[in-house]
Amino acid sequence: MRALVTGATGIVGNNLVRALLDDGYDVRVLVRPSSDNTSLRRLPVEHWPGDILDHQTLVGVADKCSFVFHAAALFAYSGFTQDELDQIAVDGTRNVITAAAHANAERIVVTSSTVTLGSATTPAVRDERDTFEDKYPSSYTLSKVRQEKAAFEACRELGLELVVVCPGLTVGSFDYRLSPSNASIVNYLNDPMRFTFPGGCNIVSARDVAAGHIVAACHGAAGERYVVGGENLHWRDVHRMISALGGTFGPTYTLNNTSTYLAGAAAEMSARVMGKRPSVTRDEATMACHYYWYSSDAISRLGYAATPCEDALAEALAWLIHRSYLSESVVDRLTPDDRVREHLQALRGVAA
Amino acid sequence: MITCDMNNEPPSVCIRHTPGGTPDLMLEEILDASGFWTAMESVRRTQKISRDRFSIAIKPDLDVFNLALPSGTDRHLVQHLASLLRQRGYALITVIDARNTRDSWLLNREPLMVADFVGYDFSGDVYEVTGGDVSASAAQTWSDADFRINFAKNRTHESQVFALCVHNLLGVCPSNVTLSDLGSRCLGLLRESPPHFNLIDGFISFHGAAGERAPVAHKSCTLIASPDALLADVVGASKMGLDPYLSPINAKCLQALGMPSLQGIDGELTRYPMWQNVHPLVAESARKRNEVPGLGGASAAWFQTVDREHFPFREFYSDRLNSFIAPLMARMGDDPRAQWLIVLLNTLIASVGSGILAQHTLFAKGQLERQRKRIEIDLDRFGDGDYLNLPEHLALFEQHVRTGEYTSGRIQLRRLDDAALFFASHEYPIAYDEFVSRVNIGHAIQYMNDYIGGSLVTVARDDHGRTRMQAERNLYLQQPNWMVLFGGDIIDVEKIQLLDYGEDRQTIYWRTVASPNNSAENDDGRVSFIRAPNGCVRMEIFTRQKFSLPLFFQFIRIDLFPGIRDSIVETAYRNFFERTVANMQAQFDGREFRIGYERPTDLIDENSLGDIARYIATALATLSELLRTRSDIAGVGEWFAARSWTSDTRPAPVPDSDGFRHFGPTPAGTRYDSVAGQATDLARRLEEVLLDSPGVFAGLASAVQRDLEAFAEQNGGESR
Repeated sequence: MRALVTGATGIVGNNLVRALLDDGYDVRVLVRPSSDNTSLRRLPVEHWPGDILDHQTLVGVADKCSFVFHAAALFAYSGFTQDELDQIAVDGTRNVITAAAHANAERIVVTSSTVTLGSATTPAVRDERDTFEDKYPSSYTLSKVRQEKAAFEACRELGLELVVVCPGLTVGSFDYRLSPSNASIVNYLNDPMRFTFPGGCNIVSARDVAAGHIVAACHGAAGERYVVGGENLHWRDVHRMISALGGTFGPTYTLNNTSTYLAGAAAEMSARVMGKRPSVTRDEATMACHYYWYSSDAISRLGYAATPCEDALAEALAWLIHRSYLSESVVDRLTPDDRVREHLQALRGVAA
Repeated sequence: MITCDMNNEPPSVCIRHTPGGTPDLMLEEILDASGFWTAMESVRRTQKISRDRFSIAIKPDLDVFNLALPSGTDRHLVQHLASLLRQRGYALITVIDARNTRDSWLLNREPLMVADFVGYDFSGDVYEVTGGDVSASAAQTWSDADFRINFAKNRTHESQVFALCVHNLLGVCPSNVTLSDLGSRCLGLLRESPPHFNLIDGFISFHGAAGERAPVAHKSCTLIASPDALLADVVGASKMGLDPYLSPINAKCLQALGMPSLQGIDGELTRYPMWQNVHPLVAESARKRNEVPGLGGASAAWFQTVDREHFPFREFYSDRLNSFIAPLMARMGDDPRAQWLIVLLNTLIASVGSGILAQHTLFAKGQLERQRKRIEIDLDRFGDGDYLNLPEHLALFEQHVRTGEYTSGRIQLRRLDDAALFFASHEYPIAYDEFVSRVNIGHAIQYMNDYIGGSLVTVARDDHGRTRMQAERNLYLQQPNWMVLFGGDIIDVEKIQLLDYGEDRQTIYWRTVASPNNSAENDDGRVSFIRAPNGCVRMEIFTRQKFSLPLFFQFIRIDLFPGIRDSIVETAYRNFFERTVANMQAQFDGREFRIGYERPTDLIDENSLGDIARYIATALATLSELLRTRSDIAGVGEWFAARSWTSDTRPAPVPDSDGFRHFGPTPAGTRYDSVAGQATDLARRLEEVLLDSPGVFAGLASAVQRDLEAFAEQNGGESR
C-alpha cells in the first residue's frame, strides 16, 4: 500500500514516515523545494516537490495512494500573523483534500491537535466529545480549530473519508526544527530558577503519535476525531521527571497565573523590541496555567497504546542533547539518567 | 621553653611540637607526658570498674565538608588512640558525634554517614561508632561514659574565630540546640559532663581568613593535651596569636568558670609560623548574619566550601548561591576585595534580618519565635541568705517610690541612680482565692508585657511542696519596642526569686544577678496578690530597672534631656502595666495572651526558611546565577542593554599568515546610517509593542482574576 505524507520534515511527519516504512508501506512525501529534507534523505521514500498552498504542485501527488496523511502545519506561537497561520491551516488543508479526492484516495488523516478540544482551569479530563470554548485562544489554536472545520466541510463536499487525529504535547526524536512542545523541555532546563507552572498537559511520544495515525487510518471511523495522547500530568510532575532524567535540580517553585503571564509577557515583549524570536510567549504562558488533559480511550479501543511519559521524555531529552538544542553550559550541569544515555548512544550510533 | 615543675605532678597542659615526627609517635609521647594514662587509671579506680567494663567516649571533630582535605580530627590519630586504649585492656570504646545533623542543607550529613566517609571503622573490632539524636544519642553516650576524651582539631572558625576543645563539645549536643544557645550548651556540658581529657590535633591544622568555610591546611606538627578543656583552648588560642576571649563560646565559659591557671605548662607557647586568622570584622559580621532568624541558619550553606560529590545540596538556591559565594570565601586570604565583599554580604543579610525583626517586634509579635534559654548562672553560688534577703533589699528601694505622689494615673515613677523605680496597683473584681488558684504567683514575670521566653528552675520548696525559692531567666522585647530600630537588644536577665505565701497575700520577689547580653544592669522587683477588704484581689507591682541603652542613645546622652527621657519612660511603663494587668486577667480567664509562637521541640531546624527568607534567598540566587552565567558586571549590563543593536556589525578581522589583524576603514556615513536604521527599526518595534499593550493588560487581568479565584477557593470564601 502506498501512503502520502505531507509535513514529513516536522516532528509528527518524520516519525510517521518511519512508522509507515516499518509497517511496510510505500511512502511518498510532499516536500517544499525550499525545505531542509536532510532528515528524509536516507529513507527509502519517494520525494514529491510541492507546496500545499500551490494547488498546481499537488496535481497527481496522491495518485495511487490509499491513505493521505496531512501533517503539514505551522506550529508556532510567535512570528506569524493569524492570517498566515490560517492560510496554511485552512487553505493548505483544502488543497490537500482536493488532491486526495481527485486521486480517489481511500481516506485522509488530518493531523490536528488536542487544543481544539479546549482546555480547563481545573484538572478535568476532556475527550473528543468536548467542544472548543476557550476565552482567549492563541492564534495557533484558532488556526487548528479552523483547520478542522475546513477539513470536515471539504471532505463532505468531495465525498472523501476523513479521520482527524488530535495529538497531545508531542515530544521525542526527529524534531529537526525544535517544535514548541520539545522547546518546553529546553525552556525548563534553560531556566536557572527551574520554575514550574500551575496547569497540566498531556505528554505523548512522537512515536506513539505516528502509531496513532496509522491506527486511525486503518481502524478509525470516518468523520471522527481521535485523541492520541499519553499521560495527563501536572507541569510540576513533568518538570520533576525532566529533572530526574537530567540528573539535575528542580522544579523549584510553582508560579501562579499572574507571575507566569508576566514572565511570558516580559520575554515576548523584550524579544519583540530587540527584534528576536521570543523563547516563550504570553499564549504559551497562559496555556501553561491551564489543564490540557485528555482521554485517549476511543483510539485505545482500536489498538493504540501509549508508552509511559517518562520514556517519551527520556527520548526527547536525548534528542535535544544530541541536536545541541540545549546549550553546553546547561548540558555540562546535567547527569543524564541511564535511559537518556541509552537513547543518546543509539542516536550517536545512527549518526555515525 | 616553659616547663612544669618536677614534683611528680603532671603538667596542666602539654604541648608537643615535633617537625618531622610521625603523628602516632607524637600522640604516644604526649599521652605519656601529659599524665593521660594516670588520669584515666585514677578515674577507673575511683569508680571501681574493671578495664573491660570501663566505658570510654572519644569525641573527634567531624566538621568535614571536603573529603579530599578533611578538616576534622585526623581519623588515623583517633584510631591510634583507640588502639592504644585497647592494648591496655580498655574494651568499651565509642567514637561519637552528632554535630552534622545541623548541616541539613546538605545530603549525606548524618553523623554516621560523615564518619563513614571519613573512614572510621564500623566493624566494632576496636571501637564502636555512634551518633545522632535517636535512641543511642551522642549526648547520652557522652554523659554516660566513665571517661570522656575530647579530641579537637586545631583550626580557625569563621564566626567563633577559633574552634578548639570547647567548640568541639557542640558535637555532642542534640541538633535542636539553636545557634544562639550554643554557648550556654557548652557551658552546661562543661559543668554537667566535662571531658576528662582534651587533645588538640594540630599535626595538620587548618587556618585561613575564612575559617572552616574555606579551610587551608597548615603543617603545624603540634599536639596539645590537657585535662582542662578551657586551658587547652587558652593555649591553643595563644599559639594562634589570639585572645582566648575572642570566641564568644569560649568567652562565655571563661566568664562563668573563670580563667584557668597557666601554671604547669609543658611546651612552647610561641605562635605558629605563617598562621592566618579570621579578621575580627569578618567574625563579627558572620555572627550578626548567623543571628538572623531563618536566613542566618540557612546562609551557612551559601558560604561553605563543599565537596559536592559526597555532600550534594538539598536546595537549588543554596547550590546556586554557594557556587557564587564559596569561591569568594576561598579568596579572602589573599584578596582584600573578597574579604570586604564577604563583610558587606554578611552585613546586608544581617540588615535584612534586623529589618524583619524590627517589623515583627513592632507590628507582628505573633511572628516572633518564643525562646528557650537555659539558666547560665551557677546556682551553687547563691545561698539561702541571698534569697531570704530579697524583701529587705527591695523594700529599701520601694520606699523611695512609694513616698512620692502618683506620677500619672495609677503609676508612680522615680529615678534613683539612673534606675527607674516603678510602682502600680490594680484591683481585679475577682475573689482572691479564685484568682490565686488560677494565676500562679511563681509565674508572675511570665505574665508581664512582652515576655518572649526563658526558663525557670525550682531551687527549694516549702513544707507544703510549694516553690519557695527559684531561679528564672527572662527574655523581654526591647522596652520601648521601638528601641529595636536603634539596635536595642532583647532584655535578657537571670534572676533569683523568693516566694511568700500568706493567708491574704502572695508575693514573688526577684533580683537580677546576671544579664547574658548585658542588656540590663538592674531588673529587680516584686509582684503581690493581696486580699482587698472587699474580698477581691489587688495586684501590686514594684520594679527597679536600669536597662542598657542602644549606642545611639548613649551617644546623644538622653539623660541630659530629662523632659524627653521622662516622657518616653512614662509611656513605656504605662503600656507595660496596662498590658501586664490584661495578661493576668487573660491567664485567669484561660485565654492565650503570650506573644510569639512556639516551635515544636522536635522540629527545630534552623536551616528551614520562612516565606520572606525564602524569597530573599531566591532573589539572591537569581542574582548570583545571573552574575555567574554572565561572567562579570559589564556582561550583565550588556545583557540588559541588548547589545545586538548597538554593537559593531563588521565581521571580526581574521589574522593573516604573519599573525596580524587588518582593520579596514569604515565607509563614511555607514556607521551613522546603520545606527539611524537600527533606531528606526527599534522605534517601529516599540510602536508595535505599545499598540499591543491593551492585549497584554487584558491577558494580565485574566491571569490575576484566575489567581484571585484560586485564592478564594483555597480559603473557602467568595472570589469577590
